[in-house]
Amino acid sequence: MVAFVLLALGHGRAASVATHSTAAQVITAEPTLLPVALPDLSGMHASVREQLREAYASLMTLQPETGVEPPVSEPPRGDRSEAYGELGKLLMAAKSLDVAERCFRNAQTLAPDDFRWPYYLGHVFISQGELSRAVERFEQVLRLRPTDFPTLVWLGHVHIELGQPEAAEPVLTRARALGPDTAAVLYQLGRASLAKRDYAAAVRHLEEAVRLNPAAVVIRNPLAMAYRGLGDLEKAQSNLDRTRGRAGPGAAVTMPDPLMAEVSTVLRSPEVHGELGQQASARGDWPEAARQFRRAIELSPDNAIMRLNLALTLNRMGEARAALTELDAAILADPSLASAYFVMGTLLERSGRDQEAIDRYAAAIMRDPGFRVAHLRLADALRRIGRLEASLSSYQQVLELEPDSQEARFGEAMALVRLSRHADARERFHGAMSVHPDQPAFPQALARLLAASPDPQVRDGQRALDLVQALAKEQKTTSVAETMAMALAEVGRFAEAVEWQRLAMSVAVEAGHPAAAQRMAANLALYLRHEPCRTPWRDDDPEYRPGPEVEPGLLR
Amino acid sequence: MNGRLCSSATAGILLVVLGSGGPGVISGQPPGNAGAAKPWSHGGIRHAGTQSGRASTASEAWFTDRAKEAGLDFVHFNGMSGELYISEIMGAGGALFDFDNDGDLDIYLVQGQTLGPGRILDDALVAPQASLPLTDRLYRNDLVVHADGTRTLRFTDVTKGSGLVGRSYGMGVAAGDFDNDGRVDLYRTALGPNQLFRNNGDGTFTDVSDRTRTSDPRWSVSASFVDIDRDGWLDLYVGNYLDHSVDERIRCYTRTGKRDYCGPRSYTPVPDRLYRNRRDGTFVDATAEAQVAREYGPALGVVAADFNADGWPDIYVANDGEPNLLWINQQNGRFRNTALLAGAALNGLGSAEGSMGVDAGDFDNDGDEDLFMTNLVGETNTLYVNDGSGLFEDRTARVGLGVPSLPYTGFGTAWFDFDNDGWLDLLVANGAVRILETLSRATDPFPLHERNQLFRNLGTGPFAGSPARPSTLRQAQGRPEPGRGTTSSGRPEPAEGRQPRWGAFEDVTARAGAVFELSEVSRGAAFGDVDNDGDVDVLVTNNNGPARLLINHVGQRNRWVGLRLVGGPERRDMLGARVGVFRNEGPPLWRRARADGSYASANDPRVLVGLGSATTVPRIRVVWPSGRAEDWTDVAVGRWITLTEGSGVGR
Repeated sequence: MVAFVLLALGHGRAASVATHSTAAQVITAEPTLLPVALPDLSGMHASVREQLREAYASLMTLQPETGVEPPVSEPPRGDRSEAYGELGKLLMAAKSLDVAERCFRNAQTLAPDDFRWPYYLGHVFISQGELSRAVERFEQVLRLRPTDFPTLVWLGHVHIELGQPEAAEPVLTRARALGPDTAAVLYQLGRASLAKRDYAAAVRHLEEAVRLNPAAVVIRNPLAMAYRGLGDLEKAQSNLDRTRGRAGPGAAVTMPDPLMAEVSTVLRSPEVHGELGQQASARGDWPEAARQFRRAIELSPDNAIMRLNLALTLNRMGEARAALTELDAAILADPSLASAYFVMGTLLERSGRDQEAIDRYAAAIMRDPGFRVAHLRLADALRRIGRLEASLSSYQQVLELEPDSQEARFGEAMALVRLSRHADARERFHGAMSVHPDQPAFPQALARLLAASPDPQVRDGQRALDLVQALAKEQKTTSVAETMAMALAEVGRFAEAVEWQRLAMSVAVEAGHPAAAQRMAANLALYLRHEPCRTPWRDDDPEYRPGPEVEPGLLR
Repeated sequence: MNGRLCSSATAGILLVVLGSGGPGVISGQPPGNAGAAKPWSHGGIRHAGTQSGRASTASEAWFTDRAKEAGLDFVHFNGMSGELYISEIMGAGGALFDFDNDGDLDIYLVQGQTLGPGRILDDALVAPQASLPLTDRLYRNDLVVHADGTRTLRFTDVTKGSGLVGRSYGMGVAAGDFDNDGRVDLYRTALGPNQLFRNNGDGTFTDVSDRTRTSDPRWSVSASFVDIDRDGWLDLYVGNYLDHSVDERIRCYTRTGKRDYCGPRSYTPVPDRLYRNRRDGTFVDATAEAQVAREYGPALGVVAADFNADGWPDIYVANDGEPNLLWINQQNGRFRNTALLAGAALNGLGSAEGSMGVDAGDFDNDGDEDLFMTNLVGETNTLYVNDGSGLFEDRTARVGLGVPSLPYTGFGTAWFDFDNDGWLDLLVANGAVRILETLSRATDPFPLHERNQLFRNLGTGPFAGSPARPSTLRQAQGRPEPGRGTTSSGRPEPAEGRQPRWGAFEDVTARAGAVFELSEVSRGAAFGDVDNDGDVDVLVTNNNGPARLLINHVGQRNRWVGLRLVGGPERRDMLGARVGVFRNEGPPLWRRARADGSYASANDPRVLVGLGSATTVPRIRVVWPSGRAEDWTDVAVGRWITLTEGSGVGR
């Protein structure tokens, strides 16, 4: 364990050096430097410990010898400044902010003209919540480099956080004048305008920011607030709708910031490579994501989460076999990792290996009984292969965990349909409609059941027609058209039923699904014969027999 | 002055129930219990709690911790054994509630236990400092008010035989009289099944969780008793956090590879629950019907209030790391989440924050409920200012609440007027959730501790251009706007051109007393006038540490009026009732009777209103949860009084 290794520098040195200057070698006064202590390295990953020790040792080799008079050659201050800075970056990345601060301050003392050190100090102070001190350091940077773009943007950001949007605006305007617009500048300008309740200006800036960086969903919320301030609730809501479920690495506003990028990637730990893998994944850069996850695994071979994420990435790259191999390794590393079984289940399900998938889902649930999505996938898989009673039990589990689950309510009702328990299914659809009045799938399914159930006690053609007519105003799909035809046929309006069925078929053909249109022909024939439909769902209808879901996302 | 107010000096019946402690000592107890004097106790602390006008000295600490002296010897045990379970750092809270109806606040404190398969007490890294067995504790307040107005505060542990036996690892507590019998009941949240304890009225409680169907098995932290359908019976909203079990092997690391506590993103959030009171002593799970599980996140803080001024209670949920929820009551048993458009889901950056504690209160005295929530280190705590219609604006930075909170992780909090100047202030109970490097280096066994903070509302901020658009949220909700001046909330309608102030806050932690120099892992905070002396005291609960009872010494420097708002046949506290205190100068002060908010804790349901230097209160208006509004006039100050629904002058 290395704890509190104190590197005391500079105490008393200034006077000593100054008194030993010679005519041949002008030695300026040794500045007073702050003592620097390495943090407790215990518990850190071996590779990070090694990095910190190396950086520390490099710094040590550059310290002027103490107690030697007269001094021999002084190590160049530039080299010492760099050494402090390098150690500072590592410590900043390691969140040892107080020690990092000392390193950067020493680096700045030794190289006062180097803009990097006050820049890093500014960020250390942001992390410590000392924003006024951050302002001071960023202003120092700007005295050295008046056109440093990241500094201007960060300074603007800090002013806004300090409640000083008026101070932020000129700084950000300077940043904007430096070159091509970036979303980061416009985002901050928009925030400053919003803080001043200048909604029109905020909309102008933020709309431009969205145009430049449409993936950065964080812009949408202040933009929505600006539109709201202008009274345009429609545009406000439209922007907010785009934020739902889109948090994550890609949601942030980014800008070129090479100095901070260096800090974020400087540590060689599994976690940092994992983060970089996540970021690459968010960009859709699967090869880079796989590379980063592999590096994480090299450093931590037993890291089941990294193996799981590598498996998911490999699957995205089309390497399903390699993905399954990684999942096996993940399970070997952590047999309790429910997610690994779950992901394996999804991969097996997608390749048609239903029973194996079911086994994996069950294994995931055994390890994590609250794994809602695993219950749902298990229920769907069971329904697909016809184990309907078992699927009902699984859907109930989902509803216990998530009373609002639309998927489970729908799946449960459809399982009842397949069990020919049409009256029960009807009640479930009714119940689901009251809970989810804005979910069209439920009235659509209920309408089908009421129109085409073989059970005369269940059928109610007029009610089916009312439901589907209300739906058809908004939902222009082949499925709704088919349901409309079923309802019309049930009430004896066969000519109209034929029209709607033909409409559904033509739309299917136009959409490139001629086989689907062909399957619809059977009902068309019924209607032409003035016979109602008694099969609410064909056997191959995905609502009746659900297909595998899309693949899951990475784990964090 | 609002034209709808009753201005008759004779209007209303003022109920001033004097206690037995002599002039100026107001118990607020129901008449039936007025003679039930408590025994005098010996050896308790005496402090200079006084009625208004008898100010404590200027040099005295604003708050002092009197827990130990008063017999409050509770020490929380989190059971940590080195596994770094997320659940071990999230508890626990406490309640200030009057379980014996004797007019003073008793205390309930939630306890942890060993955590993890096969773990025993010897496995704990820090041995229990509390007396065994490790159970929640109920402390009876044996407050004595002396003839000279001084108080002796003494708590007696009456847990034994009370029936308050927690079945699982405790997290928090909510308090409310669910069966309308005039006795406040407790709902205990936990990592595992929650429990509802019915108050039997004789010092004992009965676990009625199964019978009432409220034993939600999920990990819950905060809950709120709220009468969602205004039928006079308290319903129950339970905020649920994460799908987490100590059996799982999720491990989290810092960027350097050190083991650390996991954050919420390592787990799956679970939906909240809403239990509707069936008025027969049971509840029905109305989660799906009420549509409050349509969106959910890792809920930690819950507060109910009428945010859009339509007279119906809404529910705000603080989620940890995901957008917060604002469930607007649709007045038909359903709720709709409007948090995004309302501007109360994300911060000004457009990001979801790690929200923990929350409270609603009218900090700018403009008649509506503003929101304050505590967040993770690196994020600011957030102030959402209500424009009166349920639309909010993040004004955190402008009022000076942002920067001071950046280095801390906040949990329990509340709007409370600690100095009784008429402006709601804030206390924030802090404690980290990730290992703090600086403490870790000092080989601290539990390196999460931080200082708590006190913020004073200066009430003098710049005036802003009014953003008030009372109709916008209604339009967004597809509901017609009620006629002007006809809102059932009874609060003043925003006048044309009204310029609401947004205020400014000052971090006064350094001046608040030595107790604010302590560095602990604080979680819950419950607010109430424990010694009935007319200012708000604070119960702070610490994870793996002692409970603190912060006695207020500064509030008496100003005038005040204390109000207990009761209704129903058994005169229970009417949670959700709003009270407007009209002064001769300045705007009316609108406050709310509430026990919820903060974090995992239950507050004094009474309302204590600081009046500054005002010596009279010409009028008080109460808007009851039923929607009925009543006025009382010429209310005496410096007293705790009880206002009973139906005894004022109705509108």
